[in-house]
Amino acid sequence: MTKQPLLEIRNLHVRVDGTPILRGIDLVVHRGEVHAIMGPNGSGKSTLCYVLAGREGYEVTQGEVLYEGRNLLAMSPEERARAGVFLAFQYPVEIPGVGNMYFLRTALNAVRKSRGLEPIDAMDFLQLVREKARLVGIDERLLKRSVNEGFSGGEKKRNEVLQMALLEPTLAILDETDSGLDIDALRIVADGVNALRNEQHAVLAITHYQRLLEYLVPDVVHVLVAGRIVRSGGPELARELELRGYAPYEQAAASAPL
Amino acid sequence: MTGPAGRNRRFVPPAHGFAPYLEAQRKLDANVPNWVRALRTRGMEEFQKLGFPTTRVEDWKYTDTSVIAREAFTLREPLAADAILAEQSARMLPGTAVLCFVHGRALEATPSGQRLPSGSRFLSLRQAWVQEERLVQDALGTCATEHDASFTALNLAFLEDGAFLWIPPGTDLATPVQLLFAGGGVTQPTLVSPRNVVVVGERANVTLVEWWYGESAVPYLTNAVTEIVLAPGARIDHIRITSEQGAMLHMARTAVRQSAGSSYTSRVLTFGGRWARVETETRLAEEGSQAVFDGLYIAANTSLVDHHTTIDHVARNTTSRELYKGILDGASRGVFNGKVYVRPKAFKSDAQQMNKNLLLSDDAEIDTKPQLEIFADDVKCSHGAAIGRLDEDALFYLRARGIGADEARRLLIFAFANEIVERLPIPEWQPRIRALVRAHVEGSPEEDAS
Repeated sequence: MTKQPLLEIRNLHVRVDGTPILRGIDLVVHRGEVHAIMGPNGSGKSTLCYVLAGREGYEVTQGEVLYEGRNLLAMSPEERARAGVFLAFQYPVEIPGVGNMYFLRTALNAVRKSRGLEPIDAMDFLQLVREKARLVGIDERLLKRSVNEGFSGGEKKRNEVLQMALLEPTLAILDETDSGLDIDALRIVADGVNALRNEQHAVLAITHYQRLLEYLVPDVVHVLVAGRIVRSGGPELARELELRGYAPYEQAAASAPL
Repeated sequence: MTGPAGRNRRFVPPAHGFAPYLEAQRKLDANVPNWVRALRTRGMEEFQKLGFPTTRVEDWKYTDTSVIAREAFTLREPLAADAILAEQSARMLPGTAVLCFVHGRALEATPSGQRLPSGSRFLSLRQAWVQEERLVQDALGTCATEHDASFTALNLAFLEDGAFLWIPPGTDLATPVQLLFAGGGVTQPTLVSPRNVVVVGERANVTLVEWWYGESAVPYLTNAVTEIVLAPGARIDHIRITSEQGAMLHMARTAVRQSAGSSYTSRVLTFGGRWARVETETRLAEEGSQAVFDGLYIAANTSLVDHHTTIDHVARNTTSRELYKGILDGASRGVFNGKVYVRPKAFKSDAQQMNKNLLLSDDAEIDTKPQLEIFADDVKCSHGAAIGRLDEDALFYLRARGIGADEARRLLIFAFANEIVERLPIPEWQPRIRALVRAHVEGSPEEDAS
């Protein structure tokens, strides 16, 4: 018996403001796997993340996405999150006036409710947040502030990983979570993701650089160029890209038909 | 009145003429001091001279008073006190001294709840002009003059009751003072005209809450005036909540006079209603006086909420900070006009004003007019206005964490309102006010007493 993929993307075409960005993506992710998607700027990496998370403004013109066998594209962003899809944003949004703790608890309880669990007790929640905050190395004082307001780039990324650690998603999508991080922060973020890694979960790590992948070793590496996956391979592919860059793939893509 | 000539007039008489108003005035309790009767006469004379302002008057450009001018008001109906009393106890904030009013008249002569220290005077106005005649006479009518002010004149013409609060010099009043005004629940169009008079002595300090509420199926005009006199170094934190619903019409004016080094903080919270106009004005008449004006208005359906503020920097080294925030849904309309004057002698003054609005529907509308007029050199002034919608990026971020679309919207709306709510004094009251905000954002204002 073949096991059902956690995520299956079939021939996905997406336009933004009428411009084709994704031009036929095929990707299969099983539970327990870590996939890295690497590509140059403008190749469609962030578009893929947003389409999977359900952001408006992305027009799917062809193809489909199945998550646990369900039509992911028909689900609202909150339904996807409750079903275990988590996007760590490249640029986390600042929300003045909404307390970080309140936000985290509301999100956790929304996800718990969809899993048939009672809302978490205030004291238990406090304890849980403190424990996870230590894990991702986020200053507890940041929990008392408004969501991401006045956070440094690194603090915002850690806050993303903290949310991930609390919500324990089945599929974590990291949109360049490594960008703008120093090496210590990078290691902490990778540790946070690794802590989540087991046979039930999967990770889709979008990155521009190979650096993250030294700490978060992928099972499969995909090269995304001009809206298509042009090559897939093992971890060694990431090192090859680091040496040779994307130029050979971009030249090939430029001569390919639209 | 409705002919071509009528359209060009700045003021118009009531649709049914002045006779019903004169008739109603004759029915007022005549057993009052002579000077009170004289004030009523003065008020009626000015009202008869003016009538009601039309939209040709600059200050009334966006707010149509014909909704008031066309009604034939009676003065008041017999009290239906039981239900109203139950609502009042639900609104009593903990730890306060409370005076309760129904249709603008005090229910009891002395306040319930906490007692104020001896030396303070806190009683109904109609008791006060007998018992504390000189204190009342010295203050009443000195801040809010009826000249060219139709509604103040009308209020004076029907001078009947209200609250009188007098704090002796040097008294730091730990007990907040609360005024509850219940209205509505009548079967005929009704006019009530409460007048509150507050005098805070030298270096004295007090927190005052006015709460106006009720619901009516027929037009019910609350035409309120509050006057506040601040002696040198006096401080007052003045919270003014309006949550009158249904066909209630709310016209309010708060007028303040500030002496040297005094501090006036105004927090105006206005929730819906069919037609509400809240005017707040202070005169920084002496050196070193300061004013803070916070405002929050929430409206939906076809409500009109209008806020006019005036901060007059007359003396040097005076400071003002103003922030009004509005949340408008449905086909509601908001009006904000904030005047800040810096007079020739008011050098080294510092004035900041901002009005921010959140429009939640395509049919909601805001007319905002920050107005800064500077006649002095060496001053620091800024003003601005912003109109926006809910931040789509923030909405998506919340939803991407599993928070439902409706709840995400509510969270962002509360966050917008919270900037004003979290600055309210006495943290224990904040959950109460947040519940009020929540009820009105969610469109179930009848729950605002729960």
